[in-house]
Amino acid sequence: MADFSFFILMQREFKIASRSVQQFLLPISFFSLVVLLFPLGLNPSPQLLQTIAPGILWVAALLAILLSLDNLFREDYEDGFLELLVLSPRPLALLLAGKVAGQWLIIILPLLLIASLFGIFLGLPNHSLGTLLISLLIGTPCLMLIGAIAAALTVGLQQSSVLITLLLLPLYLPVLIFGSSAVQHASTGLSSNPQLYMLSSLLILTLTLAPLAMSAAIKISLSQ
Amino acid sequence: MMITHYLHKIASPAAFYLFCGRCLPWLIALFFIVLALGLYGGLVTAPADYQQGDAFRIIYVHVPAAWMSLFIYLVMAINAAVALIWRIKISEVIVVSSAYIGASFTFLALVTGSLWGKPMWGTWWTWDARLTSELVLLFLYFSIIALYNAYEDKRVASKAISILALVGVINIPIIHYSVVWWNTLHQGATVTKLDKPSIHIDMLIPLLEMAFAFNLYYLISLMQRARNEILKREFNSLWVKKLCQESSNE
Amino acid sequence: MNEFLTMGGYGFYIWTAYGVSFLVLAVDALVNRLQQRKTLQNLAQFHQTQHNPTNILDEH
Repeated sequence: MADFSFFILMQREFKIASRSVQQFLLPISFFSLVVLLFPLGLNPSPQLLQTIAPGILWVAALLAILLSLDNLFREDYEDGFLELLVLSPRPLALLLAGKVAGQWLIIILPLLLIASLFGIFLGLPNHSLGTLLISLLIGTPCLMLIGAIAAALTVGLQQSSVLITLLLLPLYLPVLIFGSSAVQHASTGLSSNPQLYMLSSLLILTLTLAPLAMSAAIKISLSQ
Repeated sequence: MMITHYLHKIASPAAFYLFCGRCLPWLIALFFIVLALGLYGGLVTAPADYQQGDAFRIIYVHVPAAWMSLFIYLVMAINAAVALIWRIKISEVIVVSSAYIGASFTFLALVTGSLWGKPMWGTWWTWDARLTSELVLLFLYFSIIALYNAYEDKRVASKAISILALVGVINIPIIHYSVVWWNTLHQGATVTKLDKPSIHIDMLIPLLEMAFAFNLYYLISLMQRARNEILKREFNSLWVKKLCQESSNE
Repeated sequence: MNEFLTMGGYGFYIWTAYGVSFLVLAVDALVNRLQQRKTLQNLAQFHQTQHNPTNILDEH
């Protein structure tokens, strides 16, 4: 028998998100803000911007996702939905993965659009825009999944947003390094395949392990 | 059979508490002896390095501290797995007690590395792969300590940080190699690597002695912290009650 | 002796490194000692009140 619970949970995220535009807008507006601040804070010389553009775009994407994590499980925790999930006979890891997948789909599309727009503004060469999109497409689910572990560990706590930031700072480094260096290589005309392969292997690793860690973390968070 | 029986016995909080109490004086004495030997060897008898002069003597605190910072994380992760799988209370206590000591050693490795870097490289800090991953390690320790303190219920807190420690230990090699890779892309290995001659035996022995001394210190501090934590957690159990009566009768 | 202290011009770095190391370890040891003492005191207090429940009753 096919198990649709993953997709049902995913669909639920869409339904909730469709009721408020805020969830779509918050990460994007934050992303735009961060990217805008760099040319204003440094100087708008095209050469400088072009060299730091991959780093800026990736850092902005990372921060935008970080910002959305605090609310990932919060409402479900408060209204008791998480406890229902824990009690359900379906594997909790699968259910939570569905939820995270839904959240990622909500964020990713607008993020890709705005990232390529700002990529052009910052003077990234056209041939590297594709790499930017692919690297974000592979890298952001890693960020989302690792972030969900931290969100699950801190869901019942008071200062969760500070804790999430501290927890994720070291764990996000590899994704950031490979992601931004893929774009950097592409923009200087080198092959970005090695970085993209590394990102893909990170994605496979997190896809297999993160849901398990998440479900264990949720059970612990609910047990107190 | 014998070993598992013994392990089960020592894994009970009361037995562990008493066992550590009996070991501690001996360990402390041994620590001071080995430390004195290592310091004398490192600061006095070891010959000055032909390239770095006397500045290389920082190696005797820097390298053992760096070794400890990784070793303690490994011990922590193994105990985290044990705590999550077999729910052994002692392991839970070891995870959190190790985090503080590990953070101290990581901090020391960074500070002494910086103090070594200034005369050798001419700068307090470079974004060298090792230094950067050591800094990241410090943040991993901080996040574990912060998460532990955020939970009210300390048994739940132990489980939460066990998960975090395991996620961290999978990430450490990935972080390390990604940083190495990032580093070699951005700057050639120019200043960071003085050529490494095979180390002279008179220089090596004090290094091993200091490493042993730091290991002993970790063991001592771990036992003290673990004993304290056990007392706090088991405050209402019979053996703690007896212990209090005995100490008040004395 | 002076030569030993200056360490061929690197005295400052070496002694600071060793000083910081042992300071950190000493502080760690001290913190352990203080925490242990505090825990034991708390426990002694706790169990004293537990042993003589009348004490608590008298207060009420």
